Amino acid sequence: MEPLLQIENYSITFWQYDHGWNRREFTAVKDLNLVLSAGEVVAVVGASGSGKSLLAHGILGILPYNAAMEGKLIYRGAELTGKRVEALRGHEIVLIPQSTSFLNPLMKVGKQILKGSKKPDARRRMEELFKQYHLPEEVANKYPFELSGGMIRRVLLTMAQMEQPRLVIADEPTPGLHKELAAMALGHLRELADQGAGVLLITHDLEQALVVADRVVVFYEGRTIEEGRVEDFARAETLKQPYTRALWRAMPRHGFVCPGENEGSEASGYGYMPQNSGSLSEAEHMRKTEPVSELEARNLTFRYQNRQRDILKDVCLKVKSGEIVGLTAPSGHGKTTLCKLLAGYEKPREGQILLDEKPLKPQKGSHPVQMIWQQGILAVDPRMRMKEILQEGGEVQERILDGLGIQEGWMNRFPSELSGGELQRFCIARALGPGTRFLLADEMTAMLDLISQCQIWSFLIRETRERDLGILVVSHNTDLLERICDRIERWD
Amino acid sequence: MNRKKITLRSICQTTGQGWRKPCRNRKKRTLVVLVLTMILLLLIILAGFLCADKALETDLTRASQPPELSHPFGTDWMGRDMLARALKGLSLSILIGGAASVASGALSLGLGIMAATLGKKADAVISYLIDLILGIPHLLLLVLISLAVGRGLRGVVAGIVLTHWPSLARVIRGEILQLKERPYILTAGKLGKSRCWIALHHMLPNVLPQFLTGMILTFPHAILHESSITFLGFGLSAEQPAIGNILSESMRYLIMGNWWLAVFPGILLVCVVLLFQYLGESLRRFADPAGAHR
Repeated sequence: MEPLLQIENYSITFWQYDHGWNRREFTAVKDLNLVLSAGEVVAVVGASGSGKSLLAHGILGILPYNAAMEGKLIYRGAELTGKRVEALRGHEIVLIPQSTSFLNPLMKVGKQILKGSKKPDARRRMEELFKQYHLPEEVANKYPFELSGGMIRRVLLTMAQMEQPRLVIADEPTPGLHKELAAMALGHLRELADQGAGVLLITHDLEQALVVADRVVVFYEGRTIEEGRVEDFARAETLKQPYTRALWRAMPRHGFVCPGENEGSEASGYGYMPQNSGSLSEAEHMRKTEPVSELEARNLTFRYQNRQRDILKDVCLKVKSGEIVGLTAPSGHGKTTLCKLLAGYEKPREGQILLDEKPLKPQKGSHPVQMIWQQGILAVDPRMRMKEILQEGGEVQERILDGLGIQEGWMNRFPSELSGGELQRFCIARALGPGTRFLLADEMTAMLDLISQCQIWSFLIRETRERDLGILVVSHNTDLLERICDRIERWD
Repeated sequence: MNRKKITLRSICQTTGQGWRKPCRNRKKRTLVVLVLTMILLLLIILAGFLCADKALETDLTRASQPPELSHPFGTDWMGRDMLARALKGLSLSILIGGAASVASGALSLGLGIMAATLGKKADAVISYLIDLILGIPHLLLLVLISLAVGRGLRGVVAGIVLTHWPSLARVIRGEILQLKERPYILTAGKLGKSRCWIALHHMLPNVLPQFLTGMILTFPHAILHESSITFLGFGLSAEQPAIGNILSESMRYLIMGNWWLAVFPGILLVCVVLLFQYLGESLRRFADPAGAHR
């Protein structure tokens, strides 16, 4: 069968200003070869920052202005030139983008999905898709900022399926969706493939990839290091590369084992692994002490300005020190809002937030409850260097830097020069100042690859036990929650 | 990651099949323009000082001569050398423009930050003031202030300073209002940083590019306004050979065919204004984070 998309010797090069006036270039994707046939789902799996999304943007011709590509893209037998992709994208070639900021903030969602068309057919198709994704019909009349992250994901999925696409590029389509919805979204991708489209699924989550894909390509620093059929991923022994094996072992299903635990020497050839990250299982066996303090949300009610509906109503929650509590709920139920209330970013309409039975008031000095934002890049000043960012939280202990695997070489960089996983480690280190007693992790690791997740969590679990820290983990990933939490709260 | 030093050639070689591809290092180009502009301005100011006497020297034996080698810009009806007068006038204009744009920049930075950080009442007052001043025609207000302060150099500078701050102040206010809601600023507050620290370390560096660009762009405005109110007769006194004066005096002699009186000083003024405009534009372009690596 003729392949749908052929990528040959494909490279993407960037140029950036260094410190000062010199421009440097670096290659983000190197000599990539990939073939995608119609009716096939190929998953591209790799760490954050390995150049996966760039590949998607390159195919669609929407790379940033300071990038250049080389090599060949062949789509249905002919070269995919800039002009051709312009005509095809949005119709035959569709992208399900990664970031929820891909929607126009000033246009109603329905209008964006219909692309201005007023045909009743299109409207019907949209309503059908909305029903499939459990989106209420009035969503079409709302602006993107009125929707939660998960709802926007679903809108993006709807958008891609409005026409009959031949090539679907799904760039991290599911973080922020709870399990059933994520499974359904992946199911739809599978369905599209079964109807004859080619699907390129880009994800950091090997687990998801294995559910729907026919073939899996593993990306590491802009190169494919391993390519195999899904069956090969059933056992670690059939995998060729140590990195792939490490990724496999880090899956919660396979024990959430951090690299370096059982195969230290084998994996040490790669630069990505801090050797002293410790192990999760070891951390879990540490003693649990009697709780010394307690963070409590008592009957919290909250409503955003100019909104009709309470987003939180009569919410009660307790986190004790030395305890890790998981919180999972469908998207749009105000999980992030709860975190913001607890950390003092917003004030509740009614109800109280108590720390050791005393109301938590704004105070001088660092707040005892720190929140880690879902997207690290938003939580750091883009004009500061990493070492200045770290110092915002006061002097950070060497032990914390080591435990999180923060390397000396990262200190002089700017946030835009680090991957999501690396950045998130800095945010955690910054939040772990001496005054911090509770940590709120809002989908903190949702965008990270499994190995980073595993390292971060094993460090945090040890920290919880040693320092009597309390952690509230908000996540859709119930496998993760079951693995690391002492107790899970489920909202329905 | 594999990084190598970039050369012009290596970028241009990677040009693919019709994909966008800028080739020049804009940062370096901007630096060159900045340095050249500075040198040119200094030269003009220096020349203005050196020509100060020559500009006032009258010699009726060579009155109203068209441009020739010894007087490249010609002479006026009192036999004064127009080149010297134009340079002197321009240097005066540049000094006035510089002083006025720095002062109005400082005013707008202060008021912009105050509006955004001091709470709702201060914001309402300052926003009202901005709207009020923007609502009155620029030139009219300038003339009124200049007259009230007592014309002359002082009047002109005061007028320009007091009329040019509102648009930049509005930009800075908006920018800071946006910054205030950014997660990293909120987080810094929760990490125990004081308002002052945040303003100095997070807000100021983030509005600085907009501020500098805005200030440089008020410079040509200030020069033009100085010239226009002097031209209208509400600005500098007649003995000071400001460009505006030169142009307004020349009007009487234009019908007699003395075209050089207005053309050369006018072109010189336009050139300086354009130079600043270009400088401000290129600064603005690379202060824009979306284009930081062009």
